Amino acid sequence: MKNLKLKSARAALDLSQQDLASKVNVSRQTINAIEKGDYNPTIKLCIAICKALDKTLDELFWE
Amino acid sequence: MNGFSTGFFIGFLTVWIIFFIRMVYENKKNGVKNDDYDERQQLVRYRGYKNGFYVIVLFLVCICLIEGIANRHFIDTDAVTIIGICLSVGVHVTYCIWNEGYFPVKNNRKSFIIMALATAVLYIFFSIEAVKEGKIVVDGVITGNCGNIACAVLFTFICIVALTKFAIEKKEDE
Repeated sequence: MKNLKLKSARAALDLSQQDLASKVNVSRQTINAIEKGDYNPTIKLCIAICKALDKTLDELFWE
Repeated sequence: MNGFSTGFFIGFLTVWIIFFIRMVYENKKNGVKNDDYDERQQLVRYRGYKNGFYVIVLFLVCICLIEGIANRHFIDTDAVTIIGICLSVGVHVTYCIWNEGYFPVKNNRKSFIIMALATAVLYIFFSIEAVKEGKIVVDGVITGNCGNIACAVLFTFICIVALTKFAIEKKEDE
């Protein structure tokens, strides 16, 4: 299932997938896979993404 | 030590020295490790290794079965080893490139393509020599001299896969 919350939070900060990927030290393809719902990130990466986007886990990853 | 062994040893040593120098230089240059994979890439690579392992096992079983059924020896042990490794590596690399897990997070893909292309051309050149001299198949048995052809095919295939994947990614980005 697509993670549209992550995509919109990233877009709200005017960040590209590459920008976010650089912030959390992963590849652009990994961010793309998370947004498309092809990959379930570990809690460690979820927290890193939340910190980078200044959001909570609930806001980005809770259904 | 004969000529082949000396060549093999020198080649092996040279590759490791170049690899080591490059690794130290790259790490120093950027202050961060350039060979780090993120968690998704590690998962992809694990699956790639697993697939590569199964392919080499399947290949060896097939060779044993075919030779057993045909009751004829048609491929040398050297050739089996080289072709098996090339097949296995090919599957691993293809799987990883296709699932975006082959290149580390901070890696220059262009240099990889250039190196792979140069290696493919070099192996194709050596393959032509081996084919001209008729050393590949001797008395109906594939010999270890097919190594250059196997490597040429492997590197050419890897280049094609990488270039196709890059083209797809570029199209998606646009």
